[in-house]
Amino acid sequence: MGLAKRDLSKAARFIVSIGHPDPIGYVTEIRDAIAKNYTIKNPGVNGRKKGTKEWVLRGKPYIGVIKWVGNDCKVYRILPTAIIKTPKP
Amino acid sequence: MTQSIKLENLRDLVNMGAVKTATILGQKGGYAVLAKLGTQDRILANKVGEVKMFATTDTAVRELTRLGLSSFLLDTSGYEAGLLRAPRKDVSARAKAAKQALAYDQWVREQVDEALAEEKNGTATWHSHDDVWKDVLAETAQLVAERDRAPKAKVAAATVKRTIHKQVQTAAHNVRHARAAAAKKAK
Repeated sequence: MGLAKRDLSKAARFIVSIGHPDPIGYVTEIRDAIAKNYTIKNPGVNGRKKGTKEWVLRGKPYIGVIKWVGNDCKVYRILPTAIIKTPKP
Repeated sequence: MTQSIKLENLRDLVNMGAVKTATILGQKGGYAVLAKLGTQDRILANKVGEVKMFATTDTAVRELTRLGLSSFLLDTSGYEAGLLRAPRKDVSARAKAAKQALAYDQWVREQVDEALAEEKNGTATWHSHDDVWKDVLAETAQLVAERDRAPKAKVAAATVKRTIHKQVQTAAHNVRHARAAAAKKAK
């Protein structure tokens, strides 16, 4: 999850830079959206690259590129969606 | 006035061998087609009877070739550059959106490729969900703290700027006032 971690740092920087009133709350919501997908074992949709799956993080302009290995989920990237929406408080 | 002929009629005449040649005539913004029917000339018309215009000679040639004509003349003496129709804004917007979508798709693929290559090389590092979020939230908190400190400096700079601006305006007002008083006195 090295690159995914870097992606999340980048996302956090972006959220702070646009003057969001509660960046920590927003980043926590992204965390919860990922955790929920993991908890419900969301298989995701077929990814752009063979063998990968993509999660849409509900209500957030980010997608997760993942791969399920048994019960574990490898998160490769957390990337912004095509249209960067300004996160709402 | 030259009579017009519709495409399907011209096709029949070409098939019957009545039309052997045609002229592609340059007009304002495009090209019309003049078919030679014996001693008469007939201008190609669209379904509603208006002169059928082609934006380029290529499209006119393609249409004539499709009709079965292989020999034609090109007369560009009356051609004037321009557009036959107003440019379609929706088409350009759609094309722009499609281009952006394609660029985004390519970008995502590159990002995923990078991650997959790291995994393949064995250089990828894997962390647990809790560890990652502990770091990310700490980093966010630090960024927020830095951001909140920054406005204070900005406010201070803005106050200094406002004070200087006010002083300059007051000085200018005093000068204007003194000049007006001097002029009044001179009168």
